[in-house]
Amino acid sequence: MEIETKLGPFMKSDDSTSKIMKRLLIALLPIILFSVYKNGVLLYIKGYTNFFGIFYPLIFIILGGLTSMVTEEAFLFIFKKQRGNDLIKSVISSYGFIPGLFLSLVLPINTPLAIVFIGSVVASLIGKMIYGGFGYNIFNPALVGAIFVITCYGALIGTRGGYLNRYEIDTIATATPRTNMQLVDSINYDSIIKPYGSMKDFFIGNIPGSIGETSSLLIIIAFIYLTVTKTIKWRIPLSYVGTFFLMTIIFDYIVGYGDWYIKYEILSGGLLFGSVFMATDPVTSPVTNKGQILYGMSLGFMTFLLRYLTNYPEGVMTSILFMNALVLFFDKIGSRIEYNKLYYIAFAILSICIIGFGIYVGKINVKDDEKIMSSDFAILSKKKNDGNTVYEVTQKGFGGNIKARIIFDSRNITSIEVLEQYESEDRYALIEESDYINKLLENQHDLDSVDTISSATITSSALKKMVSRTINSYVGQTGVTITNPHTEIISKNYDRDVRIYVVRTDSFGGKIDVQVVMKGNTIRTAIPINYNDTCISESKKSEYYMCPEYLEQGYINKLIINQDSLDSVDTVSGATISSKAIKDALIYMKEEGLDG
Amino acid sequence: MRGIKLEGHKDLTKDKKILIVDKPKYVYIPLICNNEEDIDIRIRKGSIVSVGSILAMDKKSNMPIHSSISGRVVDFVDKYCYTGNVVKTIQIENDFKDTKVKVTDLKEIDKYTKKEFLNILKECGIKGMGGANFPTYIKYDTKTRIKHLIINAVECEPYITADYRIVIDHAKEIIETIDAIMTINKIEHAYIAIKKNNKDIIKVLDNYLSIYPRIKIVLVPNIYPMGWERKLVNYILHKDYNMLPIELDAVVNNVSTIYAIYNALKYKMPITSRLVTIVGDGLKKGTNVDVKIGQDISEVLDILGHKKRDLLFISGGPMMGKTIEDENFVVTGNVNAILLIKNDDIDLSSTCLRCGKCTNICPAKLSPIMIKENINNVEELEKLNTLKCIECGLCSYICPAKILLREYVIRAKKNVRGE
Repeated sequence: MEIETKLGPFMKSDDSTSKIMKRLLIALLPIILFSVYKNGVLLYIKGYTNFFGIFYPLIFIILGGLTSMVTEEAFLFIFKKQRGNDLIKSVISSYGFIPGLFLSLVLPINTPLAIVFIGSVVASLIGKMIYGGFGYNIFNPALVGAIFVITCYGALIGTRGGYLNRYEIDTIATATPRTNMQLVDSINYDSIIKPYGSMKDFFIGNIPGSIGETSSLLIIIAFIYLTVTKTIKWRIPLSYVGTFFLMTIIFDYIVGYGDWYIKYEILSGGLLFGSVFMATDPVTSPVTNKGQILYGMSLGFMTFLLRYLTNYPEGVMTSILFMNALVLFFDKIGSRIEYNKLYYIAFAILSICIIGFGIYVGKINVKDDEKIMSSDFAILSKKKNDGNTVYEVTQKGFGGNIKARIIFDSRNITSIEVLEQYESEDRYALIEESDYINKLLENQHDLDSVDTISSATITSSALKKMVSRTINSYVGQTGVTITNPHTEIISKNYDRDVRIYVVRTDSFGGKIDVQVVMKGNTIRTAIPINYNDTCISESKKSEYYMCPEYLEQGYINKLIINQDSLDSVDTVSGATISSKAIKDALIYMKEEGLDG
Repeated sequence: MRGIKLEGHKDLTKDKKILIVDKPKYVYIPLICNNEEDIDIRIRKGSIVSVGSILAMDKKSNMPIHSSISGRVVDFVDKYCYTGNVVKTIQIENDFKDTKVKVTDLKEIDKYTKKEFLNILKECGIKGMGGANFPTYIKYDTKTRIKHLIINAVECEPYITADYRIVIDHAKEIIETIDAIMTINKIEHAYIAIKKNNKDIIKVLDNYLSIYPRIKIVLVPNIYPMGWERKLVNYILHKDYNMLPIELDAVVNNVSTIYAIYNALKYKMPITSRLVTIVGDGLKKGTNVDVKIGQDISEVLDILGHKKRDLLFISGGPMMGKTIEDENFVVTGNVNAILLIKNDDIDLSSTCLRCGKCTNICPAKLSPIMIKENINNVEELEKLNTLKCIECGLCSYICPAKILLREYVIRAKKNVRGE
């Protein structure tokens, strides 16, 4: 359908799509410059890179943008048979560089350039062109690329240091703040914020993270600029962050971490960058005002749930991609609500969910805490005696508190002696008859495998809890060490030019096997494959112990990067024995796993 | 408040001397231009007519169509009217005698009964001069008691200053007429809506308002489309109506219409002339021009000295006006401006980037881009309230991709109505 250009209005706003894109780039400029400073200039000053390394982040970003542009051009050339001027015109008018540019801003700095290239091709091709190009894609192209890269190459990027640049790997103990939260055993200011400096560093952006996302300050400035110049749909970031903020306040009020925690949740990860630059992508977000608010609220809601109920790290990206699929639905509501107040029900339902889930998630986290610091368990005394540690503990049982003495040698329980109990004689006899306490002793590293006594459930499970909690306390606080570990190579295979070893060493609860891939004298990867560590809880509030596999992300990478000075790498508190064992295994391999 | 501050360009004409062009050789009185359907022609070729003679009756509204000059009916010819369509007109040759139809029973303007008042409005063919051309008497012909009289002097379209000049030059007559209408219809409140930045009007009206305490000035924001009836009523009464302002016991009149009512009550004189702002790139000097109804505008343009090269010729303001293909265009009562602008290459529209600006700015709270996307899906168009569009043009104005959204919405409206 053609409409004559001689139709009015005869005044037009002087804004245009190209001006909007220009303003978007202006807003990104400080963020890109900050990244060049943080991942380039700073590394150069500290001596981690040569002069050209300063420009690495810039090359990274430009490569992303350029790849996207070329991809679109190639697509139009091959499939749309566009040639010459037409081709140039359509590439200019479709802003081909945007997907790759934004993709590079959400990727870890250690992503190999080849993968930035592949990701940009995917972003443009799968995220945009196959839908018909600019204006027709349903999903945010950059995020399509990002999810692709992280899914397919996340592990590879992880082994290269993930989100941490080389300076950060040396100066900061763990991974990004968000990954770190999965690793620590208790959440407090010292464990979450201190490793990265202070809240100020979070605000300014001196923390590990993807290239564009770390500086909250610059993102907020960009948001103000883009809102004042009417470039982005400002309702989306406002309702997105607002909803997430509200839910976090509710959560924090119930759990009681303190004000710092709310700031941490807002300033860490990709929330601000995602909400300002990704969720507002015009093509993939609602056009109606109310639809935008609903979209933002839903995004905040989903991000909150992903962050708190799962360990999945890409909460913001996933939420945005998921909500992209529902944009039409939000616009349906947004376009009808002005003349039909009935549609406000959508807001009501969403608000109830937001508040309800804020409370619910808070409540379940409080319960977890109670499990750990339950008041019905207490350590009465702890004495060291000839290398043994003697605990006297009490645990609420049937009829009254059970008192017991539990003795540890260097790492295992050697005896459990019940001093007091108030169970009826008949039932306690059942426990004694079934040799329950010995079973606990024998299976101390796998207490779950010990069945409670069916007719004396309360007391038998109380005894089990008591033992488990004592072990937890012993392991968590004593800083127990294994002296003179025995380490050996148990298998060796070749795969082309790399050697794959399995090395076994002493660790908590017995042995740990680590698969080590070496090329020449360099360790390429190290993966714990068999271990006896008891991994009771997979959540961040590990009740008992941290599984070695959770050490992978930050710690093992750090070991690999610092493989020439392994002694300088600190072990992970809360997983001292396992982390020490993995380190021992690598030290052993550096000495014994020589080529030939 | 949805709307936008536009560059006004009012200084081009607002203080310029009014050009009076009241001696045309011919006038061409349009017969069917807007709502008229069935016309009963009362004259023949050769008939002699006076100023105010009834030329024809519009059977639908039962209102007469008058001659604006005295002279002789020459022919029936086709001319362009403000809609951009070619319409049949009665061509009258001016005898320059300015003889008027004799009128009787003239009273002081506030001494008429309501029945007489309605009759005068009808017989004088008073129709809304703000643009809609809606018969004014119908607004007052209601059983419910009118409580609020709102005088629309907002004139929110850029360039146009015709209403401004009317208020400045005829403030006394306008205030007196408002007072008379209030007395005749027993209306309690009257509000004159003026843009905040129009300090001159406020100064002029202040001289009279101390004598007429029932009439108040309401200052409205300087945004487009503040003069839209629905928006204005909401701004003043803080309520919304469904179809017509009378649901809220309110009547809204354009200020030029009030001046026409003055002439009707005072002299029983129909609308024979009006002020038209003529301005634009192609003119040496733009100004307000007092033209006869039915006057061919090309004569006026010759007087104003316009260069005929590459100009778009627009009836109305830059936002809601329409291009007229030919300069042989005749003035009707609701034409408040003629705009001549350079016929530049207007930017070609590009793909919608779904920025949502059209939805955000729409004063009727519609989603123009969604209407465009569903243009052939009548069921969906109805759910999108397409018919609520007032064609203000802000969606087309704001679109960064330069998509002519209003034209799509107009077409969608036709689709909904099954036209």
